[in-house]
This record gives sequence, C-alpha cells and structure tokens, in this order.
Amino acid sequence: MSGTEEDSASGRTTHHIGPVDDLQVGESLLVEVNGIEIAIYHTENGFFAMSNYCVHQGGPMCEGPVTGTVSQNADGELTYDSTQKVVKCPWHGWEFELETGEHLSRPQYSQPTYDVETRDGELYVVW
Amino acid sequence: MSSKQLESFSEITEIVDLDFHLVESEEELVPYLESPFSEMLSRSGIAETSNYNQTKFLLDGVGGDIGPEVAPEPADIKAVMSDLDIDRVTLNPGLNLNLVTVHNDRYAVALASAYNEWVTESFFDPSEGMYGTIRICPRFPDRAVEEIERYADAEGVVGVMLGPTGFMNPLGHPRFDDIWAALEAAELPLLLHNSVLSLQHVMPGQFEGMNTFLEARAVGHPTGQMTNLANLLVAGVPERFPDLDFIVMESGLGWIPYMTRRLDYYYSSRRQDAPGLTKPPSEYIDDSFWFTTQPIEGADDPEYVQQIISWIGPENLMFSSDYPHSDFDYSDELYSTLRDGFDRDAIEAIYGGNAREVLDH
Repeated sequence: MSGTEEDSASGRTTHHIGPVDDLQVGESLLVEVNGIEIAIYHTENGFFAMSNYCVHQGGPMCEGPVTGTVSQNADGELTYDSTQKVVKCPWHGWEFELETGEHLSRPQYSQPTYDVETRDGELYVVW
Repeated sequence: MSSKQLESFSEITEIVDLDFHLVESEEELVPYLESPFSEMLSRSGIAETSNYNQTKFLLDGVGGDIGPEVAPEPADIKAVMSDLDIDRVTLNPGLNLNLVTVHNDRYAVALASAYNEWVTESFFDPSEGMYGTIRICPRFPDRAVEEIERYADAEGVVGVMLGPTGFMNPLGHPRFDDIWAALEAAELPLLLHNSVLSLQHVMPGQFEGMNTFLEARAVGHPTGQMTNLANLLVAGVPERFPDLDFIVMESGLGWIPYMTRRLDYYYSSRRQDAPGLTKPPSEYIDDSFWFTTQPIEGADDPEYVQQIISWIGPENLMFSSDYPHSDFDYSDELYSTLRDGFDRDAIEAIYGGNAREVLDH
C-alpha cells in the first residue's frame, strides 16, 4: 500500500501512502517515506504516525502493541482509559503516547511523530 | 585512557555473545527423554506446556520473548547473528532456564539430559559460529557429573549452565563439590543464570508479597546471584577449585562492585566465618569470576556505566545480548556507553577477548 506520490503546499510536504480502507482499526503499517521508516497506526481515535525506530535501542515500533492507559485514582482504584493510546516497543516494552510520542515515564525521551491526513479515501503523512 | 581508541563499533575484531537463548519446547525434548519419561509423555498433547511453571504475571503483550518463534532453527539463529553483528554465539536454554521449577527431581534431571542431547545434536556447530552450554540439574550431583563427563569434549560445548537458585542449600554446600571437581577436570566454566520465575524459590515469602513482573525481574536475578556468590566464597569453593571459572549472568552491573566491597568489609571482621579463604573475597572475584553485561542499567548515563565497569574491571566482563528476551541488549548498546571512556583493548576484551580466553570459543 505504500506509495511515492508527493505533494507540496504551504511549506509542508504531503506524502501519499495509499487507500484508507487498507488500514483497519487496530492495524498498523510500516511505510518508508524519503528513506524514513514510519509506523502508521489506525485506532478508534484516528490515524497516528511515528518513527518506526525506537529511540531506546531501535526496535520496530510498527510491530508494537497499542493499548490504553492504566492509572490509579485517589482511592487506589485502577482505571483503564481506552482513549489514551499507548504504543509499546515490541523489543523492550518502552511505552510512548501514541499521539505525542512522549515516553510515559521518562519525558526526556520521545518518538518523532508525524501528522496523518485522510482525503478522498486516501491516506497521507505530512511534515 | 590510551590513545588507542576504536573509531566505530564495526572496528571490533570479533563479537562473542555469551547469552543467546533458544526457544525450546518440552514437547521437542520428549524423544530425547530417558525411560520412563519418554513413554509417559509421548502421547500427543501431554508435554505441550510453554513453561514448566505456571505462575501468571500481568503482561500485556511485552515481557517474554520479543517474538513468538524467534529462532527455532539454526538458519534463524544465523540470520539474527547477522542482524546483531555477532560472530559467535553461546546458545543457552530458554524453557530450561526454569528447570528449578520442575517439582519432580527425577524428571528435572531427565529434562536436563534430554536438553543436552537435543541441543548438541541440533544446534552446536563451530564452523557456523554456534557454540553453547549444556545444562546440568544438580539435584542428583552424580548425574550432573555424568553429563559433564559425557560432553566434556563434545563439539561446540564451551561451558556448563546452572540455574543457581532454588536449592535447599546454595552452591557453597559440599554436596556440590563433585560437580566442581568434574568441571575443573573437564576445563569447562560454570555459567550461573537465573530466571524471573526462580525468584519464588529464592525468596518464596517475598515473592508472594511483591507480585508484579517489574519487581520479580528487577530483584530476582541479582539477589539470586548475590546469595550464591557469597555462599560460594565463604565456603571456600574458589580456593579448593582454583581452576574453575564462574560466569555470573544477566544481573546488571552496579551490584558487582557493591557486593565485592561488602564481602570484603565483613570479611575484615568475620574472617573466622570463612576459614577456607587465604585472601579477601575481592581477590577471588578478580581471579575466578566473570560477569556478563546485560541488562545494562543506566545506559543513558555513560558516566555511571563507565565508572561501574572501571570498578569491576573490563577484564572480568563479557558481552551478552540475552536475545530474544525482552530486556535484551542490542550489540552496540554497551559500546555506545564506553567508546569515549575505554580504549580498544578494553572494549575488545569485553566484546570477545575474555570469552575466547575463558570459554575456549
């Protein structure tokens, strides 16, 4: 599904990826754009993209599980927020916010993220 | 530091990995089991457990191996070696790291024997850079001695692995002496490798209380090694078996200089508790003990790692990846922390020189 069609507008570069329908909710995809490997995820919250190369030791982020967020309230009760998506590196389990790329417990680390747009049934990565 | 610095990771002459795990199943070992276990377990579906111990941790996708069938065949191992820039691997058990959790002494010993036959027959091939350890189960020391003697000169066997925790007596007990003598005679080092699940056998009460994978993994490996290191030293094993080399595995780095100094500290006032020693514990550690590097805690703080390794001494360290477990170290992880603090000789020693010397790779 990866494509090479490019479009430039307003100083941003738009990279055509392929049909939106090819990436269903719960699926992820590895694409290469201008030599950069990018992992694209489709969740209930929409499409997200980040560098496929984990900042820790280079694990393939596109193969990592996408989960919700577990937290504990003041009463000590565990809650699971399925809307706050986290992606874990499949190698060592480093956890990043899917939307921002920030590491959950070590803020000095973050994954580069990219905007994803859909237009006329097609998927684009933008930077 | 010397001006003889490495310019890049690729300049390292030869990379030897001390800890590359297989992903064997119990079912694969059935044809190699001795009687009556081979007959008892040969019916389909009997020996299909993915782990001997059924302790359930809360793991949501990451925590075990980094893939479901990472390297089941020699060709797969070769591919991973290429990916990780490893020239020679030391193949170690996966499932059989947890042999200590098998609650049947005879079956545990039979599994170790079956594993050894399976692994030497199926994987070890020095021409392909594939070396490995055999696994002993010391519940019947005479059977462990038999295994050592059987494989002492087998192709590709460079050491003998033992899960050091979970026994009624730690390894300094005299009941293990025949094993140490056999290893000395065979000129094979002893590799001490725990597993997360063995924590419950090291400290069963604490294991019940601290019930997460994070705690079990962080605490289990080093505490098991500390216990056995202290016990082996105080019992005088390195004094009585001076040609036996010990390789302590997968427990991180910082505890090593800590424990070395702590043992010396108490030896200063309790020498009578270790009457078999003729020098301080630290000197035995320098002479007889090596440590594998993974998992490197604090890799994002090179100053910490360099200081710890300077205290341990690069001559006592051996690179290990622990592939494919989920706290494995990529091959250049350690190099990236050491490159501006250690010279070529030190880095070459850690990445292969020490292993070639001690394990006859």
